[in-house]
Amino acid sequence: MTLHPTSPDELALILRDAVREDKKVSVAGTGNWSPTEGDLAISTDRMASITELADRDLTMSVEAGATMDTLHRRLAAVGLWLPCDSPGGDRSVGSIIATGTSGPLADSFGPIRDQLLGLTFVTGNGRVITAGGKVMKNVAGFDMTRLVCGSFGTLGIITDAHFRLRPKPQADCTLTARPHHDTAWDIWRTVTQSRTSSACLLNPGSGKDKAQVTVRFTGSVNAVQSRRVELEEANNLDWREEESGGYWGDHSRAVLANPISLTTGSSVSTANAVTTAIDDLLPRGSAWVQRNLVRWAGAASVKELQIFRRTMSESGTPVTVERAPWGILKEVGVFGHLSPETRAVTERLHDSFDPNKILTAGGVFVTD
Amino acid sequence: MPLPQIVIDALINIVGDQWVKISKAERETYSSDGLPTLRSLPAAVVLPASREEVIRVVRVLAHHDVPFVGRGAGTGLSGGGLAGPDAIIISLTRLNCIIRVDPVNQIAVVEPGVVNVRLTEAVQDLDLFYAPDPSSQTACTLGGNIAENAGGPHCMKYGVTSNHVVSLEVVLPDGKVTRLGSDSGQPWGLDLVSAFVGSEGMFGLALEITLRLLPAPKFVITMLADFVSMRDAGEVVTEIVRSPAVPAALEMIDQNCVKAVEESIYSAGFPTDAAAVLLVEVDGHSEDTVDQEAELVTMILTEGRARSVKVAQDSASRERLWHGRKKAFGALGRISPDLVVQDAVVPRTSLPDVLEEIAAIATRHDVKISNVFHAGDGNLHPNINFDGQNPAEVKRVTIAASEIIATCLRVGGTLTGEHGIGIDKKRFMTDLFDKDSLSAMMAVRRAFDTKGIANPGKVLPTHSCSEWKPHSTVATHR
Repeated sequence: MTLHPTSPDELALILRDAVREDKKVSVAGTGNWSPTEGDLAISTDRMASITELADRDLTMSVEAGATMDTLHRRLAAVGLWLPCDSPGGDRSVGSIIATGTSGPLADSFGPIRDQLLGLTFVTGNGRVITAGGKVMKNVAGFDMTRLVCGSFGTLGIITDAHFRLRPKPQADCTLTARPHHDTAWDIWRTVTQSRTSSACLLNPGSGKDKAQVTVRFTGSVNAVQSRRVELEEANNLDWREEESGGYWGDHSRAVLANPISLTTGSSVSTANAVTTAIDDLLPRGSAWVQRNLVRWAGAASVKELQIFRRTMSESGTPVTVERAPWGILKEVGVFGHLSPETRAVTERLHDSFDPNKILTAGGVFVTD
Repeated sequence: MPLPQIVIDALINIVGDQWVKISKAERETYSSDGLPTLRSLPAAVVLPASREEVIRVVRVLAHHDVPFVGRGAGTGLSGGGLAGPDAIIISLTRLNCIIRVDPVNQIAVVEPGVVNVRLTEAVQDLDLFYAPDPSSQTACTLGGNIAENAGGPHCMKYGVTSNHVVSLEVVLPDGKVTRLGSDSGQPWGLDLVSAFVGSEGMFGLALEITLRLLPAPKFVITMLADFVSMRDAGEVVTEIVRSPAVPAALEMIDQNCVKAVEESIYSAGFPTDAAAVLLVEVDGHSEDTVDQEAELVTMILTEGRARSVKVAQDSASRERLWHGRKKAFGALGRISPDLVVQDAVVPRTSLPDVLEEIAAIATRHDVKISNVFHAGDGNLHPNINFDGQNPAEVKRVTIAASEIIATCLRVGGTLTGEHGIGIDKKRFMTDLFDKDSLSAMMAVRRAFDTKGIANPGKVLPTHSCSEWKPHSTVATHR
């Protein structure tokens, strides 16, 4: 059964009833972004309004059921921008925040948590919680906004979000090149370290495939032009200009065309080793390298995912399985191994916010 | 309750006799922070010299259930670094090593007692810098910055402390040591790094801090605009932020504050007859782009009725302007025995109205208020000069400060943007958050600090929280 609450208070009543009746609750969404087993499903489709667009204050409040595409369209109409290109523009804002999914623009604008000013969410014990606010800086109380972002629904169900916005950039230029593997890595390192681009994405390819490096510049017309000239002069390559909206939409769809996607932490000096491990251990898929993470999308068995995560763990690298068929996710878990102390803190949080464990039927904290 | 001798002996055994301060005179030094209206004498002060000593100290205190307060330079402005008579201050100023700088990945690993500005000084030869730059950056420590989620003028473009913390090694209040996050900055499970930053010392102590460094901008232009109307200055802020220009900093200083600065050794050449001045900085890696941004900002300032716009012609002039801005609190501090620095954030478009209301509050209660603040973020710092020995004046200051906060909340603002709640603003938390939200914060605190011994009595008005017990039965209402 799927329920469609229209307000946080309604959702709170539903969750309190679920506790009383010992029912498990999942959030109905699309595309395996959250666990799907449960006695009840909650859809946020009736909480999908843009409740406030303060265009001169550069803030926006939205209900969690609104899709990211809806937000982008509304903002574009008034010359504003939310630099968030998480895979799946048709996903709800709540889903993107709950899974902490960031796209290539996180390279320069930070992950989705950096765009958030505040949240309302309902805990597993049916309490409506207000976190943060609507202003640019806020240290009043503990930062539950960033804690809930990326918690994969374990602490509560998000109902409202407040974002900071930016003026829409005058120019938005995406350039791609397909150089030799080593050259592609050199360009990626140089551009990433210089922090002159809004995004720099490397698809190292595999086997005989040439690597592909994609650089996105945003800003004033002159700034974008000067960075473009700088890039083209520094690398004697055949750079091809892409239409930004179309290109990044295609990239997002390429990620989602696969049944599984995961992210691993990485850095300028470790990214190459991470992609080598992916080549060795997760051969049926593609990897895209960003400043601080490598996203892989493809097909893999539970065993392959477990071995990959264990290998990464040994080098101090977290692997977050952000999306997988439920049968796989419930075996490998979203997060995998945590240190005993971190695990203890996490469990205490989980115990407080969802004491009767109604919100997830597993699948987040499973360890191999 | 006096501290058990067995605890004092154990602490002396760990750090040595000279680093446990128990005499009243020595403890007095730690009885206040940057907030002059509150004082509290701690039971003792312990100054460990190393990560290992901090861990051992915390374990002793946890074993004996002795509350403790981590403390950096004591520059905090909300009473967060004060300890009650039954609590021990753990001063972390001796842990002042920059452990490692990694220019390839643009990160630095530091101990908590490193003074903020020392990090940028240490990496400037690598053309890198650490962005958060609170006005107290020549004194405040990075551990303190983590506790308070410190900001600063350049956070407008570059973000506050939490945007720059990659990972943390912390000792939890029960003495267990854990690493939060990962070297890449990607969370490992829940984002406990973000939860820890800004927790005001109530979740444990940071032992090793991994911070993000940024390439230093090659070109910087700093402009000073002056206005005959405070409202005009407030309104132009919104126009600049709404434009394609992305200022690195956008600061406002009102006439009272300008006069205080110009009458002090920090004189920066601010025009004393202006109702307000704006200090605007643009920076970047391309000279043309920065020039164009500066031109755009100048045009907006002029159209916004700036009386004049002056550009700092060299780095010495620029430094003089910033010195005047960052030492404004010091300049204000010398004109009366006491100064209270307020901190609140409002939507930018509310600035003109809120500044007028603050002026009205000053008149109504016969107090002197000066404003120097991060206008680009809507982050106000109304400063009230007063004499703490004059009870009637103290009362008026207290009422005025409360009314300023109420004004900011009324327009959709918040209690604090970068100074923290501490003790000072705890009483206002119920004006901003309901009981359930405060209880949720309490639950987060208890997840990190099961005993409630790390910096107790701060941030949360406990009478307004209901403790969430694990596996409690939840009442249902239909």
